[in-house]
Amino acid sequence: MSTPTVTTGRRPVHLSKGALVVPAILAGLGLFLLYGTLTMEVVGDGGLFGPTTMPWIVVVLCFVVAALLTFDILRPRPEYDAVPAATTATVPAGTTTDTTLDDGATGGPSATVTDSTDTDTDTDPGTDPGTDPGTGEAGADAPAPEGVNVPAVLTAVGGVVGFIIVLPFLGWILSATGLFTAVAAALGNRKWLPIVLAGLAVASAVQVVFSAMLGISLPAGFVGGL
Amino acid sequence: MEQLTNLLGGFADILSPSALLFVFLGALLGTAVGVLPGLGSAMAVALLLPLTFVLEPTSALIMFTGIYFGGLFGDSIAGFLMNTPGNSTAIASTFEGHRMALRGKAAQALATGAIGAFIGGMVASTLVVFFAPTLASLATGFGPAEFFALAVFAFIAISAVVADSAIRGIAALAIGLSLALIGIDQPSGTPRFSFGASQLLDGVSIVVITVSLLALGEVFAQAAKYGRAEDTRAVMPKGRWWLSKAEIRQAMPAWLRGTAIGVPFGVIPAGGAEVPTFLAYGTERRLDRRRAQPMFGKGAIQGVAAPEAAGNATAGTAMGALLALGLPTSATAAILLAAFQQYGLQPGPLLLERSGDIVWALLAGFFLAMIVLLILNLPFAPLWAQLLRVPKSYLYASIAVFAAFGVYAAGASTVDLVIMLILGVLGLAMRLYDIPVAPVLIAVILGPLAEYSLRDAMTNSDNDPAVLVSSPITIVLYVLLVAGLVWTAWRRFAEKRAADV
Repeated sequence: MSTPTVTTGRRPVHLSKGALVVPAILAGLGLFLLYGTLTMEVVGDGGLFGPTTMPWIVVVLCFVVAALLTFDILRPRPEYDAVPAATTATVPAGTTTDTTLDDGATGGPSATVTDSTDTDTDTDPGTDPGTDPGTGEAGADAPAPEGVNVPAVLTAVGGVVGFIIVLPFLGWILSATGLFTAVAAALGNRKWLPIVLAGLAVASAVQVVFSAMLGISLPAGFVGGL
Repeated sequence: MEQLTNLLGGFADILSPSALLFVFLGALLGTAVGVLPGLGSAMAVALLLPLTFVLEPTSALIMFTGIYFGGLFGDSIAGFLMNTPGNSTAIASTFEGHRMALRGKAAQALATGAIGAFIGGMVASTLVVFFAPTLASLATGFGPAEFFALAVFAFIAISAVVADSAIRGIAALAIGLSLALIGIDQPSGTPRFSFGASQLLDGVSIVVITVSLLALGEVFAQAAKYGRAEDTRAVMPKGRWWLSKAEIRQAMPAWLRGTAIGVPFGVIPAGGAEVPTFLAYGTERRLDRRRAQPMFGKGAIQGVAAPEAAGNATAGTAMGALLALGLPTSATAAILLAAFQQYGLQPGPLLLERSGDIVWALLAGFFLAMIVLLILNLPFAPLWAQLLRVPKSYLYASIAVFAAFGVYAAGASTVDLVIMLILGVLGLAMRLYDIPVAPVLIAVILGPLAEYSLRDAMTNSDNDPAVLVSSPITIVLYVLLVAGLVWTAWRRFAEKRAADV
């Protein structure tokens, strides 16, 4: 269900500029599929509904959804853009709330291509008196309480990258201990000795239960050679 | 009463110590992941998918269904005690549940929830036992056009009807469909999107996709959120964990109404228990307004009873839809479908015929799981609450290790691990920007079915698109789909209006 919308004067994360990552991913996928479909060496007689049919459908879907999502993220939203973050509390709610709900009802997330132009003209008057795009951007770029902890994410991702690199050499137990340590550190735990011991315990438990008892093979690394 | 004989046969199969052990393990794990915020039954089953390489089908599948139901028993604990529902399915019951806890009735709130989940699950399982064979025999006549309609129905329902934003749901669907295309095209043998890499010829394993998106994505998302202010004060349950006669009298009608609301939603691919739990909550609230002393807002027992019953009733009939039609209606059901496929079993009309013994043992397992879950949850709720004290750093570090293990066990290949990393980062991006994950899983699992049945239907009819809507079943499915879309649009509109007033 939808969370209650609070008029904070700041766009929620999924409508911020950063959210454009998602349409970018979709466009990237579309290009990947487009290239793959064009270069596909079809075995036998493809026919009208051959191995390339579904890829074409998905290619179109990716590009269309990317475009619609970009529009959904960038389109003016009086409820967030019209009110600069700093003055939220002092702005009388009356008129702003009205345009907010009007816009929400006609051009909500389920708006389709056909009524997109309609929505555009509808919302324009709402944004004009309030603000120019500049303040809207400032609101979106200001450090939000729901900001991303970049160092923590990089530590966790780095832990996985490291795990993938060292797994063939160090074997499961040591690599997994490293991964455990990296993720725990990313989540703010700095008590190194307990973390490493816990990681060692979890990695060994997985090794014992799944590998020794259930027979799923794991790389031993040099530890296995000892 | 053939069903009863079959069910008794199923009970005979699973009343062995080893099968009971798996029922118990599943219930235990399910409750645990339900209790812990951020984890869920979908992630737990995904992480345990590698067990399908070594366990017997019945043992693994019984454990997984135990996790599915257990997740819905446990999810209310964190919600009631800390006001942070562990899963979206517990949001509706948390409103009144947490208020009950604040009034010192935490134990009774938890008991109301657990008994509600039990009633909902039992009723739904009974209905599944009696109607699954009928549904399956109805579906044996399904041809390519019907399967295509079913897949399209699932796609649109899960992405447009369930997700808060239709365009974001469809974005997730597109990602899933793209992933499903990688690998050899079965009918023609054409390698697709593998670009010469032999590791990609078999496609991206469903284990890799589910584990990466659900588990690793959540680990990264937790890292991204680290440092934000969090309110982690929990109200600990004290006192009697049973309900007084007066409380039962109040809760009983709500349990039954919740069950009635939840049952139909399991068969509709509405993405699990979220919609019915909110409908059940809304119904109770409207009824409460007519009472002499309205209790909503002060910790109404009905506000806990109905959504909890609805949640598990949905899960029960969702299993029925999965077994009889091969139609996954929630993320966890989708992963369960993947678990069946690991064993070369295809849920759907033919499953009951070909592997009836497994199905009946599984259905018998539902009933046992409910009983075990009720026992685990009623008196031991305070113990489960202690799980909330596990530090997040240890919890998510362990999940990362299990995820890495699951992916490596799936294929022992470094390529899979690299894909895991990419999809994990994708999972993070999706969580940050409100793109739902469930449509990806449904698309990955039903994508091939949709594609191959479309091509079959077209080849059989000399490319006449009319074949897609030529049978009554296809027409009914498309009509239902349109009705669902209209209802969703109306509901969103009504919500906006309600927020207005």
